[in-house]
Amino acid sequence: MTDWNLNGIRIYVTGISDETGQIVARLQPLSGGTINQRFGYESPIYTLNCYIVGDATKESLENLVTGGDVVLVSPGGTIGNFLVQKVVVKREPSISQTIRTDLSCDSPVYTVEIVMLKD
Amino acid sequence: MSKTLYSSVTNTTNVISVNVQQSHSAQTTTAVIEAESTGLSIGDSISVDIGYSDNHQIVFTGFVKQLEISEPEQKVSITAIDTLIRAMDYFIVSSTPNSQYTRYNIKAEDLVGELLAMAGLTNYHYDSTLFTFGIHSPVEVNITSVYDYCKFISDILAWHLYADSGGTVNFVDRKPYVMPGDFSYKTITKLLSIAIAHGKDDMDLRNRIVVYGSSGISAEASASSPYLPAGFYKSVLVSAPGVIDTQDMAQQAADYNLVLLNRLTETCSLTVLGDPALEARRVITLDVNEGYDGDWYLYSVTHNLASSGYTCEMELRQ
Repeated sequence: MTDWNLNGIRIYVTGISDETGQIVARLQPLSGGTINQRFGYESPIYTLNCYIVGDATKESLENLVTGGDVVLVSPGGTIGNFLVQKVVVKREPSISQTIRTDLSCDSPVYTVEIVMLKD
Repeated sequence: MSKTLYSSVTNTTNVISVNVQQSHSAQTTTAVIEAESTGLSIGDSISVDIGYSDNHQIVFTGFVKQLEISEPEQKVSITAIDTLIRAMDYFIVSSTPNSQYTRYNIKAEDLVGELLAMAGLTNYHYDSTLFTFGIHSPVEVNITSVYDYCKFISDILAWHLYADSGGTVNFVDRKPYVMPGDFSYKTITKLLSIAIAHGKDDMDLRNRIVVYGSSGISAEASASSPYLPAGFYKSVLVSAPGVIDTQDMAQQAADYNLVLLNRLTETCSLTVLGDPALEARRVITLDVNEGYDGDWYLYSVTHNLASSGYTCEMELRQ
């Protein structure tokens, strides 16, 4: 089974949500009810919450905002291509990590919020 | 009930917004389209079809005059002008001073048609005038644009020259107010909650018209105005030497322009739901119980279609 990864960068997903919507102009006549005009729809915006370990991983993730499409892969398979709009990183107070056993136990642990646009 | 907005622009994909400005007083109609991408180049023909998925029509036909790509969105902005731009861009200059365009005994509508054809505008509709130029001396056209000369002719007759949304150039007896025989294209019953202005002014009022023609020919038409002191005249001169060469023609030009100009301008500005059938120079009926219901002349219309909706800003005149 494949682990969660974003363009091959290992992430530990704790939550994923998406948001979509229709663009509706609401015009209000002086008399009568509101008139709704549909102007297309928004493609989904995904918000991914996850843990990452190590500064190299953090840098790789942050570099995704400078490039084009990335591929999000879950244990269930490829979710799709996305454009990374924003990466918010927060360092967790940890002394010793056991999340990634391939890295040293004193590697820093971060929680990350990644906002991605379906492309 | 919701409506799905519709837009289709020649050779252009993913339209973001459309703005089309038509006005009786403007020389041409202008369209500005923002889109994700376009295959159009400067000078290409373009038509703009907007409205709703179940009710849309062409509101603009013309030529691309400007293309801009904005960063960082990579959004393309297309500015186009209606077909009359060809008449404005076509400047008549004879190869030698002695070989200029000359015509005898030519009807005004035929003269305008010939000049428009020079600029490649053959899609031409006209009303018959009673004016024949070049009876005693030739009409000579040189060192002027086709548009300027045709506009000069239409001003003498108090007529109107414009290109419609389909690209046809019209030379017709169209005054900027409701005329006898006009029929209403549409009844407006809903206004949007945006400021409505209604008023009257005498800024365009002229109650004395003087016409100068060839060889000392001149004519005058005047009338008292209830909006001016007794015996007070606001004058305007129609100077057409080389074109008007009979006394009858000079007097007719003076009379026609007096009818056009000796009146108050009553205007009403408002915004309504977008409707592609609203085209400048048509007559519509207002039925909104706001104290100015009735037939109005659509002096100008601006179609705005974007993610904020489709609306039409209108200036109406009576």
